[in-house]
Amino acid sequence: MNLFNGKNLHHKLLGYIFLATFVFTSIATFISFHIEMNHANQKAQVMIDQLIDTIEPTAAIAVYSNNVQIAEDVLNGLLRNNVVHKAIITSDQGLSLEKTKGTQTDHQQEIIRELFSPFGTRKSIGQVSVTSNAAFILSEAQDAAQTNAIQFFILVGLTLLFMLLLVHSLFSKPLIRISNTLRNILAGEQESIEPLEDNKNDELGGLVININKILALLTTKLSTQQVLRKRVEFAEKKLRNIFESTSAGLFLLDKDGKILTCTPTLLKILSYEDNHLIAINGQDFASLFFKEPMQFQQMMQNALEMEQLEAQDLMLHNDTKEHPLWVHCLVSKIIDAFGVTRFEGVVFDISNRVASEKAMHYEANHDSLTGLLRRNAAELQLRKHLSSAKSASTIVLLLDLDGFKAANDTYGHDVGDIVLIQSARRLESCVRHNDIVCRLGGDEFLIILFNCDPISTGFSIAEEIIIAIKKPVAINKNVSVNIGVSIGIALFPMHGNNVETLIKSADEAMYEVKRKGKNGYGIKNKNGIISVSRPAEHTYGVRH
Amino acid sequence: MSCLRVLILYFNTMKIFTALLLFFFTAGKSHADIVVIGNLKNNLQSLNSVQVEDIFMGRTRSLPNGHFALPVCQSTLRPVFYQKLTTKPIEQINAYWAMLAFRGQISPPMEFPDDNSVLSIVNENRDAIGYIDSRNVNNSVRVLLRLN
Repeated sequence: MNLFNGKNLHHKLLGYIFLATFVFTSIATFISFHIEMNHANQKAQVMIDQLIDTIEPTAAIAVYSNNVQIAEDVLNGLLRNNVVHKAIITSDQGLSLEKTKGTQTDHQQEIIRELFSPFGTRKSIGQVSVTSNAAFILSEAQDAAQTNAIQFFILVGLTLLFMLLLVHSLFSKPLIRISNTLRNILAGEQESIEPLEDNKNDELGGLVININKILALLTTKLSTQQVLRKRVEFAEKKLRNIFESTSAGLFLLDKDGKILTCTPTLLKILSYEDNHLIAINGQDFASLFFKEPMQFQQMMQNALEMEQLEAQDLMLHNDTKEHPLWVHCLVSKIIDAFGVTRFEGVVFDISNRVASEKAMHYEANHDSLTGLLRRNAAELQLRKHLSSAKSASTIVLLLDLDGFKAANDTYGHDVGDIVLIQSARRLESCVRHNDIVCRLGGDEFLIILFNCDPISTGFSIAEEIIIAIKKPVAINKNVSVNIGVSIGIALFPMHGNNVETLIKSADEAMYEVKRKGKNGYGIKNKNGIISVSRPAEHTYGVRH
Repeated sequence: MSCLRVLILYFNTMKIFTALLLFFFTAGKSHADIVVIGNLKNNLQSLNSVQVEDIFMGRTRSLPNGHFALPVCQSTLRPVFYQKLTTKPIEQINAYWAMLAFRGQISPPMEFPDDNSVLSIVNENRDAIGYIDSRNVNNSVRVLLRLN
């Protein structure tokens, strides 16, 4: 079968023709054998007839004279011929002689000839019978058929060879040339096929002309396309530059918030460590980047329902205390060309803005000297807290340093500042973590104790404060300042249910302490009388 | 024209005449019949031509009455005898005998130079069969067949 899968057309053709020749020759040989067999049989009959003609007079004499010797000679003569298998001579006078040669494979009809007297009377005196040799006839027929087949095969083979040469020179060679030229054209070495010298006016010549026409058309189209492609490439490059160098992080999400595509800037903004842009495709945008994914999911929900642009500042996942990372995120719903709902959005880095905002916020709310909250901020928080559900057991302490003015006058503002800072730290160390310490101004402080149950906790904190402030503040080796503190306490909601009344009550209690010898804490009882207490003296010693 | 007719008539007449002359001549010559003779002591009364042919061509060696046949030939009459008997020329007959003689089983009948010698042989042998010119036949032999 390899013959039929050959590379060359003429080889393939040769294969098919060879096969056809083989089949036809086989059929022809088969038919030829049968014809030859018939022919050989007829020929054998003719030969035997002629043989009998030859020996007839002698045989007649033998029969006439009853001469066994002659009859034997005749039979031997007959059997010397290959075509004869068996010969019999019989006479009416009782002579009967039979001779056989070889073995008979097939039944053959015998040819019988009557013998007449050689002299005068036409009266049958005996007969000679000859049987042909089947094997001989068969071999004759076979030989003839074989010869025919060989002749046929040689003839057809020569014709084939001639046809093959013709096909090779008329078709294959020009086709190979066209094919090679086409390959060169594909490789860009040539632009058209040279016309074939010998095939100018036939089909192959027409083929070349048509191919050249197509090639010319293609060249024109290609050059047009090249120009167009260059334009497209330029436009694409411009767009890509915009896309890649834009400071806005663009992203496209599917309906479930999974990332479809995004700009490199987005990853830079979102401080995404992984350099593989592809790897993040298909991940959940919200949980991958934002500290509170719920916020972003809510934005998407809103965008979906309201069909409007959602904008929000969001904190990022990999946020650190020192450098909080913030982005401004815009999200809107889009429906693409295929009717699929998607989200597109843009992210801007606003960390610096938030940082500066925070700094401003901090400055606005905190006292620049001590770092404590300012009055406004503290009151705001207190107000917020009082209006919340957890407002019970809130205690407000109003403090005024005793002896600060004198120290300030004696050692100067710098020392006063040190005393204030030192006092602020001591106050902070006395309160619990969540409590607020605020500088109201000058040497006045406000402390808010949240969830202070039982109330005695508030009193013990006040005592601790008094003890802490009483300790001398060392300025340098030689100088140390001693001050004290007077504390007024107000309980919510006992002494007031808002900020102003609470502070007022505490203020009154604080002044009562001042009047009654300072360094203590006072609180209004049910009757409106302010009782002043001081930490027991021995505790001083313990604290020391 | 009449001259030519006379000429044609003359030729036609001559043709018929010549034919008649030839006929009589040959008829006269063929009157010399050949007779096949046998011994008087042999009880054989006559033979037909086939029987004579069988005996003289060696096909059979016995006479119809069972006696062993002894055919003899007359040399001068032999070609005519065989011609009359078998219608074959003498050369063919000679060839026939040559063939049989070559096989060595049988030889042709003995030959004698003239009628008298044949007569004497027939007289001497009971089973001898010969042939002579019919004009030389006498009572010492029996004519078995007349060939003409």
